[in-house]
Amino acid sequence: MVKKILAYSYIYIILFLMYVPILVLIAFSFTNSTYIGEWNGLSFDLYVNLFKDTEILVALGNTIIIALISSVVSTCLGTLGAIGAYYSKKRSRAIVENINQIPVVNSEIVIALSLTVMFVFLGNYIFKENIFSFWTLLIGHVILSVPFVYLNVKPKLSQMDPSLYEAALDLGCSPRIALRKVLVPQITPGIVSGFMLSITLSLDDFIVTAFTRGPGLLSGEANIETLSTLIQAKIKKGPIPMNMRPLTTIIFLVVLLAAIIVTIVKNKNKSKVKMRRGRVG
Amino acid sequence: MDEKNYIIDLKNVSKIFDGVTVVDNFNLYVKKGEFITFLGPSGCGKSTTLRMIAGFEFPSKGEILLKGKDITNLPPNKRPINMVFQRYALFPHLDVYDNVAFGLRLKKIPIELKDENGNPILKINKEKVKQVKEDIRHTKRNKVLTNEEKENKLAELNEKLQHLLNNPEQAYKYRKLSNQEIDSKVARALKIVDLDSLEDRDISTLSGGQQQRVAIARAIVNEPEILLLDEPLGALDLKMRKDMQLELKEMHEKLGITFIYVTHDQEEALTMSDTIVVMKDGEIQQIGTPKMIYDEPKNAFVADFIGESNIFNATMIDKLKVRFLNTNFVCLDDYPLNEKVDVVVRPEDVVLTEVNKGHLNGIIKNRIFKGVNYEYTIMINKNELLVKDTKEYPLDKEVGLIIEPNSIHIMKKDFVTNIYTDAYISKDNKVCIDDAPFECNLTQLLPGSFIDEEGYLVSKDKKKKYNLTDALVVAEVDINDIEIIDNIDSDEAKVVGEIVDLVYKGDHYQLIVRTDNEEDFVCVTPYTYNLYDKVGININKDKIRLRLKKELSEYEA
Repeated sequence: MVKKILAYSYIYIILFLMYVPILVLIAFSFTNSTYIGEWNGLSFDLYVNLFKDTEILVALGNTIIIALISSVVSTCLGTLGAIGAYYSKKRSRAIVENINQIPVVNSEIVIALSLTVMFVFLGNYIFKENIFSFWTLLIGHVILSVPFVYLNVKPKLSQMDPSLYEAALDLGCSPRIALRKVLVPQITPGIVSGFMLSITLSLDDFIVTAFTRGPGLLSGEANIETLSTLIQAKIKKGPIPMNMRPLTTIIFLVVLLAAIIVTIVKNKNKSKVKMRRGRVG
Repeated sequence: MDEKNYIIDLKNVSKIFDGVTVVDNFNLYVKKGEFITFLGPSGCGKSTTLRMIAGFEFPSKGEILLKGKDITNLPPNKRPINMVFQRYALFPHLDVYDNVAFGLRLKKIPIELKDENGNPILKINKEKVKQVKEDIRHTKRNKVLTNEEKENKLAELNEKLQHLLNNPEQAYKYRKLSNQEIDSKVARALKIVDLDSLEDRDISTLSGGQQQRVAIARAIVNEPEILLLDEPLGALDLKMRKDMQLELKEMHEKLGITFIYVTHDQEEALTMSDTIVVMKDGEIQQIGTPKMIYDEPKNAFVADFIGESNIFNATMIDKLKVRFLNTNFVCLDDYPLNEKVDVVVRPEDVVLTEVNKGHLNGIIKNRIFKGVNYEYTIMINKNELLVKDTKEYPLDKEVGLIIEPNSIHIMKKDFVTNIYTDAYISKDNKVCIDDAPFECNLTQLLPGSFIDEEGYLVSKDKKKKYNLTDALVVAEVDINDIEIIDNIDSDEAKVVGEIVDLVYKGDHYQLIVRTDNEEDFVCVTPYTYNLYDKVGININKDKIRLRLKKELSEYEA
């Protein structure tokens, strides 16, 4: 009985702490008061304003572009790294694994600062110009998320029967086809979760972004502005921008929708009728 | 010899991993359609040999010929050989049908290219050129070959390369199998393994036996020249294993494919094979039919490994007369007078009778009912003899034993190594040979392990502990590694015995030191001793090689 009460109270407290603030946020996105906490009556003004606010839209666009590109790059690198390490000798695998651990436990500010120092150094002595741009930002985000992709793919590899790859070769696959037809399908869940995690890391990131960004993307000649850097810049000067309220509401709803779709796809009934190409009658 | 009769031919194949020779100068040819089994204890190199035939490992030395063509360095996907893996290695993301169809969908059928007049189009064979270049790369990287061997091999390969580049061959284009062709082949393969009703099932929903069948279907559907089976029945329970043994044998007869089977289970090997290759430490011990290997084992190792057997040290005392167990026997094998030999007597060949009516007498010390018969352990002085008999006798009864000449098999004694098949591990982790404790290195039983303070053997990852007290082991000591101690009262003399045999071999003597318990230690020495001298014996702890009679897992603490 006590256990039950504790279990339920745990769930309710978590739900309360997580979702009540979001519900409050959603409610206040439907009023046009400047300050949070004032209710000026129901209004869709903020939503209309949001789509006129080029500053926020540019930042949103930048954020999404960087998140997608950096996630694709780091997913490829992390997955290949994990596969390579898995089939390496014990010693080299241990080395790769330990090197991979360090950025995970290391504080972000160290990564950000060291990258900045390196980019300044390279710019001063090798390229002889300021190299801060989209590319430096991309490198920063990839470095941030590669170890997490590796960590997501690795357990899937260790769960796998190690002779599957050899079985594929034995049945006539070249090493490349064996990788694509047998290995990758086995570790797809790990790759997907690694990809999702790197998107999340990149979307949220402020420190590395602030240190490594340069001009480019939708911001044109100005420094690339992402949502996190934009909000930081805004709240330095005044209140939380009003248009952030509808934007975060939309982001929450999109994520919710994505989560629901993923769940449905996962639980989809697998008993579909199988078609055999080449079957006569 | 006409090599075309052999489907596969291994010539002087050796495999060396990081300086450790796993397979040593392996020579074997296999006839088409044969069922051949590699049999040996774990770590004897049988799986490595199989993997070299499959193409997962490349030999450090020697060559492998398939139908007379060199495939030594050919990658596995280019060999017409398929393998059934130990843990099946089925693809879990595909269902039964797609698993079986996997190889067929990759298969390419060559079609001869012809010009308008119907003459064959000739082109330089790029595939072969690539393979020869690959061979050259392998040879250059090989660390085992001597420089001279390397140069000869490279010169040969370069010549081959020039020949290929100068002589265009028939060109081919390739087509894939049609879906209809794939479907009919898959259906046929599934029918052979009795799984035609399960083709839509996911792999995870199948039982072990069914997965086994899918693995076999997936391999045979490609119509390989050779089917390799790496302990395929190891994961099945006993009853299932027996059924699968017979089914595999039947399948082999029906398909006519050459089967190469790897197992450590001697019974499996005897049941299924046409030919058995017994291996130990990377070397072939004996090749022969199951009957030959059972009835006429070449040495004590083979006799001990195949079936239950009594092995005794014996001496030829006259023409066709051998002495062991303090008794003279008539035998059928002719060996020189006074030659030290090993004698094998199978337990089922000893007949029990009343006291003094047989060749010798013994006392029944142990009796186990085995269903079809009783298994008796009979003490003859200090020697044990295992006997199988259908009649029931009480314990501690003295009985007579008849050993007929045709049930005594005599083997040339392996004088390189002393083998003690009835050694055991004492409480303080010493090995007892002839009841005398010798220091030994138990960690050799498990690579990377160590002995903790409490005397347990601990595995490398510290997850498993083994208590080896009273474990039965086979101890082996090279004759060069036995030290002779002149002072028989010193602590170094672990056992004391009498020199019963002394042979001068050019520059050294080979001695046999026999203890009171009739255990023999064969050793070599440059010094002169006299016959019947009493000497002590000591053995360096690192020189005693141990092999457990049972699996290590049985001693897990």
